[in-house]
Amino acid sequence: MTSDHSILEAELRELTPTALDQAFLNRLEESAEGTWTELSQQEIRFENLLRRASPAKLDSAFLAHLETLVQDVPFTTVEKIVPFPKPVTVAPARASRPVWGAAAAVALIGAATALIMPVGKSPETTPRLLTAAPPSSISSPASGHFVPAGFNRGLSEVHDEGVVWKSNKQPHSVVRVVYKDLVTLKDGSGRTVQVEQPRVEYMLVPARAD
Amino acid sequence: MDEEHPVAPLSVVSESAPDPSAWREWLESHGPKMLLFARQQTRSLEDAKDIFQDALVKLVEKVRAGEFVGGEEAWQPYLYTAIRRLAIDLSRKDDRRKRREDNVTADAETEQYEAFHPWFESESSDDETRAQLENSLKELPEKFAEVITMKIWGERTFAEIGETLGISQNTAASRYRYGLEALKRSLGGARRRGDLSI
Repeated sequence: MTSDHSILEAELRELTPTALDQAFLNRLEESAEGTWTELSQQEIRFENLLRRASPAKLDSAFLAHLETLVQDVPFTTVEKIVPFPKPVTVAPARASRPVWGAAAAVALIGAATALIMPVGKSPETTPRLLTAAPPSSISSPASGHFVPAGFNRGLSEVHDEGVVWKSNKQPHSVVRVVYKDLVTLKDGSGRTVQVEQPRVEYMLVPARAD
Repeated sequence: MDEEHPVAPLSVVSESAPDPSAWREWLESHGPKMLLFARQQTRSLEDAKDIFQDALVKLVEKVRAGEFVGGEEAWQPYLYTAIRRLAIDLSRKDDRRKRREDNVTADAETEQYEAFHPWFESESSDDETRAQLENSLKELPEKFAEVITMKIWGERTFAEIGETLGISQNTAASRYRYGLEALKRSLGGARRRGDLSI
């Protein structure tokens, strides 16, 4: 078997591929232009003629059988994302982002302060502004044998409640801060009791008047 | 420090109308074109009914499980795709082509049966036209016939057809045109003779 294909190659090279016919050229051009999927009036007319023949109806037995297959399935399932109603807040007079940031910073400072303060000696000295504390939920009563082992001030919510004007003409944003304080107590035998107390504070944060 | 961010929670609500008549209405409206497509994809009415049923069951199982993405408008594209896949599976399993060649009698019986269960409504056009159209469609290469069936009677766009068949919309349009030309030629003689009303 010879490996010299030069003669065959030369003969093949003399062959010229068939030119594209006009219809195919048009098709390529229309495809490139994105109009190939648009039907001509003639094609639409023929299509409409064909459409006059409608598909045969489902026979009643088959239709009834299909109906039994779907009878327990809700016909329409439309999924909607429905947000729960948000707390009604008074719209702030100024951009609220700095106010929220300030309130969060104040809350965090308060939490950090609480961590370094002795717990149990004078609970009434905890710095509070206007406090409206809901009833506390206590998971287990603390006896005298228990000693504080940990304190956690959880910042739960911060709401901008709007702007108030004080007598000195200085506007203040009212910020409602909800904490969830958690005190952990331990006794000598290693038993642990946790006391959780939600707490609400209102803070007045000076707002810019300009 | 434990913090709970004030995130507005979301809920998913399902609107449902478990009215069997709604399904019946939908099946009566869309079932014929689905079954037509299934018949075009298979060789017998029984096979077509089987795969249409299986496709519907697949759909309702997804809807029931809340896994179906999209609403009612997405059911038809899903069913077309499912019917086609099931038909391909069935064809592979049955190897019906070989079986038909081996059993001419059974084939003749099938044809006779099919004649009593036409693809198209007899009221919509005269019997001659309907029969000629049905035969012409059956004689078309399948890749043209399926596009024509989906486009004309399924009222699918070329983009949707392409999605179902795994081809581009331009290829779908090309197949459609080839198919229309072939149908024209096939029906042309009958039309010239005045046998057809279309």
